[in-house]
Amino acid sequence: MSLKRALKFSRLVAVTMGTPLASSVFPSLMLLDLAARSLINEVVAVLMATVLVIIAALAYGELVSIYPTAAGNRVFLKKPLGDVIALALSLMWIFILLGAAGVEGYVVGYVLHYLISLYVGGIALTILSPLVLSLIVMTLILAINILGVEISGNFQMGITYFIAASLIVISIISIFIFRNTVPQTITNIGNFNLIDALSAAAIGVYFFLGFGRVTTLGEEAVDYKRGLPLSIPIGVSILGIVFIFITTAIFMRVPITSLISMLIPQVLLGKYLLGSEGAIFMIIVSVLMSFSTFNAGVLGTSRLIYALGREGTLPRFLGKIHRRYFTPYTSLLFLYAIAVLMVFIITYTRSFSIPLYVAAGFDSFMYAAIGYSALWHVRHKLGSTSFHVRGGSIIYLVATIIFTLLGILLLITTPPVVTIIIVLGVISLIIYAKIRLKP
Amino acid sequence: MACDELERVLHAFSERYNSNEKLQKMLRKWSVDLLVWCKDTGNGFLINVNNGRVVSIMRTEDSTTGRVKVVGESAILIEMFKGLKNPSHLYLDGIIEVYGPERDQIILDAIVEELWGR
Repeated sequence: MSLKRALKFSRLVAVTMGTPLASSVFPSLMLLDLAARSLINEVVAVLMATVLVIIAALAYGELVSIYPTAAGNRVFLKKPLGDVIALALSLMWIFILLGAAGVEGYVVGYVLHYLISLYVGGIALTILSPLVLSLIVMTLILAINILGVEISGNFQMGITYFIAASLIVISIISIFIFRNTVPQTITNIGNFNLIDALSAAAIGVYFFLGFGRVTTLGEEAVDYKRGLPLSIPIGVSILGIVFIFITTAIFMRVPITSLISMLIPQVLLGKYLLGSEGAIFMIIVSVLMSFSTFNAGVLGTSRLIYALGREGTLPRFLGKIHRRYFTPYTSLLFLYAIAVLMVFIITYTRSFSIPLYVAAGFDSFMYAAIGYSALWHVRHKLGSTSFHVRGGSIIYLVATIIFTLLGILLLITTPPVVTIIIVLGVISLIIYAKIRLKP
Repeated sequence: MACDELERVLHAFSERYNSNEKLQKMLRKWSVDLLVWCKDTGNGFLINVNNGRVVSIMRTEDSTTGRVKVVGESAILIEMFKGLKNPSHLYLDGIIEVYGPERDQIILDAIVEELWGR
């Protein structure tokens, strides 16, 4: 592979990794640890989630090679499920991503507030509350995107790989080297329980939310049909390694009471290992994670909303273009509004678990739908010749069944409001899609 | 035949675009090589835009050229460049494929909106 192609492939892998490497992974880690209850369950859960998402990534890869510049899941799902269902699920997916952006905004505000608290106190700290800091960061991201400020692709790639490497290094240090400096050392792997591991795996699937965003980009024409489908499972595999390390390190070294009371176990881990320098390092890593996720996720989601607005499926005002900066400014504003609303909801309810459970649950069902779509395309011989998975029929069938069961298991083991939100959300959007798509 | 028809349509599209004062003013700093590629015939047209004006449209059989690339069946491309089909709809349905930097893609949308109100 020439250097130019290798770099482009590395960028595609980095883009796959960019959105899931979010600071909101850490609070969801708490939910996973609570569900897992033992170290062995936790490791098995993340491993299972990784393997399952790799299978979903293969399905995405197969579909992307058939529809190379598809704007989101809608195209993938249209033929097997019909336009109404495909649109409804895609819209639900957009709202899930917007909600996740809100959770991310909430967490980054929390991280920055902790940083400020190391240096200032009193009235300044009160004014610069996590909510205010969240709003500042999200407004800044909005402004950057509306103004069309382009961050160099290589710079973003560098940040993504730096984040991944940092998390792995910190984890290895805490697990194997500085284990005696931390307040907790779990060495007992505990008892294995399949149901606990599966429940935790369903939450672990959330870690990878947004890995498929790379399919909406269509930036590089070179080697797109093969390079892009291949980059998705490779990116997910690397993510799996990162998540296994960091979740294990946090489970072993951060007390569960701290996990429950603070949203930033990664900062605590850094603090236990290397004092305030370690905490600051992990704060920097977390802020970079949020920056990377916002930049990656915001862009892709706004593009989809914008395209649906131009098509007329969503209100047309969402398809407006800024005539000076040539950016989809109304879809960006809409995205900002929903994310800010989520930040307020989480701040005043003091509960981020419900949005995370909803995202994780719907995630599972969406991957089941994608698996079914890949199976449908393979069975109808509509597969691409440039990327094809051997034994795809069986793999995608297994994926469809397992993700469906995982989604149901998560709904059973979480508060009923999660099921209500998902079911009502999908039904409402099916009705909306039916009305909107009426000939 | 389809190729000749597409070439005629692209020339007509370019004339309409070049004579639109609002677009010329808006895009006076925009320069791009846009490849319109017919996947059914295996060739295409490279449209060179310099400082907002289309300066040339040349046939090409090189599918790797161009900063922005629009790919589709020739019949679909003909209808699209005539303004008879909504490019967003075609894009969302995967009927056309669009490659290139996001800003350029949005500029193409702005052109379509200004010329045909879509």
